[in-house]
Amino acid sequence: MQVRLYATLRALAGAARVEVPGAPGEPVGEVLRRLVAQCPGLAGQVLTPDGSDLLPHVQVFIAGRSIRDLEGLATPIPPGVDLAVFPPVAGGGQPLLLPCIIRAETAEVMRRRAPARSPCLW
Amino acid sequence: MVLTGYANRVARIDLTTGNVTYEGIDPDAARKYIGARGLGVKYVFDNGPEVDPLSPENLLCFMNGPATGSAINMSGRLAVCTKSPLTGGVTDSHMGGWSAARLRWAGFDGLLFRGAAATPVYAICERGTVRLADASDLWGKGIRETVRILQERHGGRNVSVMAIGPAGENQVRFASILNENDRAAGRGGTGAVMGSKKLKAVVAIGDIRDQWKPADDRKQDFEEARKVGLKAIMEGVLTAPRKGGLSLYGTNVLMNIINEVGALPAFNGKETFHPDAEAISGETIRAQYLVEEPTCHACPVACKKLVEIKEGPYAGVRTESFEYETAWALGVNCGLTDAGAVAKLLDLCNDYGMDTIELGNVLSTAMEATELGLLEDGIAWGDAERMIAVASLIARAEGQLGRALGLGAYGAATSFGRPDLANSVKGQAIPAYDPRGIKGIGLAYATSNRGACHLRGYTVAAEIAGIPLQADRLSPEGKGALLKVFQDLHAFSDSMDLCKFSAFAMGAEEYAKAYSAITGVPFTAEDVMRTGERIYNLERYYNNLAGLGEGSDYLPKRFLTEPATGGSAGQVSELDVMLEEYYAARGWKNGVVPMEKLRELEIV
Ligand code: SF4
Repeated sequence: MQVRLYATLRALAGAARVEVPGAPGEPVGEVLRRLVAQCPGLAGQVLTPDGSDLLPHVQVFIAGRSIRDLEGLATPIPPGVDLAVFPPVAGGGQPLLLPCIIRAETAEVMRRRAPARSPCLW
Repeated sequence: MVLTGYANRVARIDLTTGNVTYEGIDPDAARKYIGARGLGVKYVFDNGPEVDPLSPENLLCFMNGPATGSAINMSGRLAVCTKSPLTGGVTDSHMGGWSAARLRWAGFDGLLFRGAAATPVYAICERGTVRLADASDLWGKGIRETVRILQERHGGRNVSVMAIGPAGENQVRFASILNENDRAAGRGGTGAVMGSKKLKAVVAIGDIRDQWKPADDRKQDFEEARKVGLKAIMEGVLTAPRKGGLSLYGTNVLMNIINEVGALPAFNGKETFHPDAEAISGETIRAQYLVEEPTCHACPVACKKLVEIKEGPYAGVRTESFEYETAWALGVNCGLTDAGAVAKLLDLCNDYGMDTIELGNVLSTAMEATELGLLEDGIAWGDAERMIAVASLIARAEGQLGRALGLGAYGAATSFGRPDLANSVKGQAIPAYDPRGIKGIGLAYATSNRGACHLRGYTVAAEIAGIPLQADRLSPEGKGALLKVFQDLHAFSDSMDLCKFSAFAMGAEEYAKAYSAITGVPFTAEDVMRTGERIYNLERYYNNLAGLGEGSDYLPKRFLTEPATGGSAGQVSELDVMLEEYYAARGWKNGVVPMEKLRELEIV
């Protein structure tokens, strides 16, 4: 299957798109581990050293949905889709803004109203 | 007692009489509203909510914050506050570069312009004084030429020029003010207010740099606050110079990810995904067009991206900054993915002095109207040459089309008989995130005090980047409380006035520390949030008094009824649910601030 890479990951992998073996129904984590094995420059950029989790703020999308909103690395890959992998990129407008802004305050709000986990997308 | 950290000098300039008076900062107002956005809004509030934005009675404030011009990182922003001709409410628009620092080094916390000159003038600020000079020879000129002439005339070094172009002179409702670094106070039509006063430019000659020094007994605290901020920036995954996504690609690092999730409004929001957005993304710009990476005062991030088009019909265009909002508004939003054409349009906006976000929406609205047969001699999707020609008509207020489009997207759509074609809130058009694919940002657009805006509460951080925690972008749950936190925190940093990117590195605790080190006033994270809340409520109170009452927090019908496409296929905004939660968090009644809330926050 095809994995699309963005921002700093392109230079590290030496390509914007990488073809990685993968079959429908397989967990995303398996494909990502193969991706890192195929592109050693991505080691330490996408997955934790033991390969068991995504690094903080790295985003992996399947058909527009973040796997963090699905089943994480265990999310099964539906047929006919590709993966998109982004390093931390949030920004804003001329002046944009951002995030960490908040930290403790937001964390408290989010704990109080933890967002509902969305259903799987297919 | 005057707080330290301020120049303690504000000039009131009556452009009708030419009279200039000076006053200190009111310590009580400074404590409650800090500076820049907060204090500027307070001056606008005290000037009265019923004033016609383009009349001599409107007040136009150029405001610094207590951090401005200091060694605190990212302290190079200046707030322009006034009553907006686009929204009819209060607005604050911020520019980067060195203007803010140079105004401070010229001896000022702020300049308050009222009245209107009979003939064009410009203001010169130097060593704590302001004088007016004839600008008849500059009227009609673009911003670049105006800046060049005034820098040559006043010495160049240490000189900042904030000017309007033909769009401001012609009172185009979304005219902006730009400085010598092409940094704009872009939103809300502040340039039109300046034009209505026949004020062509403000020149700040900042040659008393050592004016900004921490008091001896706070040097250590100040240095500590500065180092904490710098360390966070240097180590931030986004801000780290030449390593972080923001530093490497600028704000346009967002183009691909927002497109990926199906939250990139394309073709005036008829779609939320564009298959060719990559062609104008940060990655492509860096690889093919980037020539320089300028920065602002005291900022190691250097997120500005200067591009040069080397071939094709727009060869020779060299302009900054190829921001995400600009690339979206003038690009995919209009069905255009030619980077050269987008750069050309950006360059025109920088010289005419027009907000790129509103112009993009004006053009896309006209394109949809053309498609629907409502506009003869209109504009086809993605027709770059026609877009360039129409942008010039707008700036020069030429012809029926130029004048109609100069009213902004909402005014233009109303003139076509279809106000619903404008993706605007309170008269100001949306930026580059679709409310159907990122639910919280829709609530942010609806409740922003300055009309549709992403910078008043950037929930995208949590909803897309997972910072500080991942929120489900497609769920309306919890977004009211989340947004309030963002809005209040930004209201504080905009009043310091720190670049919003400081948020990558600092939270309320660090802001409190910096504020204390600068002013000597003990301050906590809770104080930061309460002060931000006070500022947000003051703005809302002003808007309520100006006629923006119940029902003024809304989203265009398209976002509530027409399903998104791409990665957000089928989604619409559930605004009502989010609004209810938001008003409960704010203690407002249907968008109106009750008297008890005003008392609780010590506004009245
Ligand atoms: S992060 Fe960008 S906009 Fe903010 S101060 Fe630095 S260079 Fe200017």
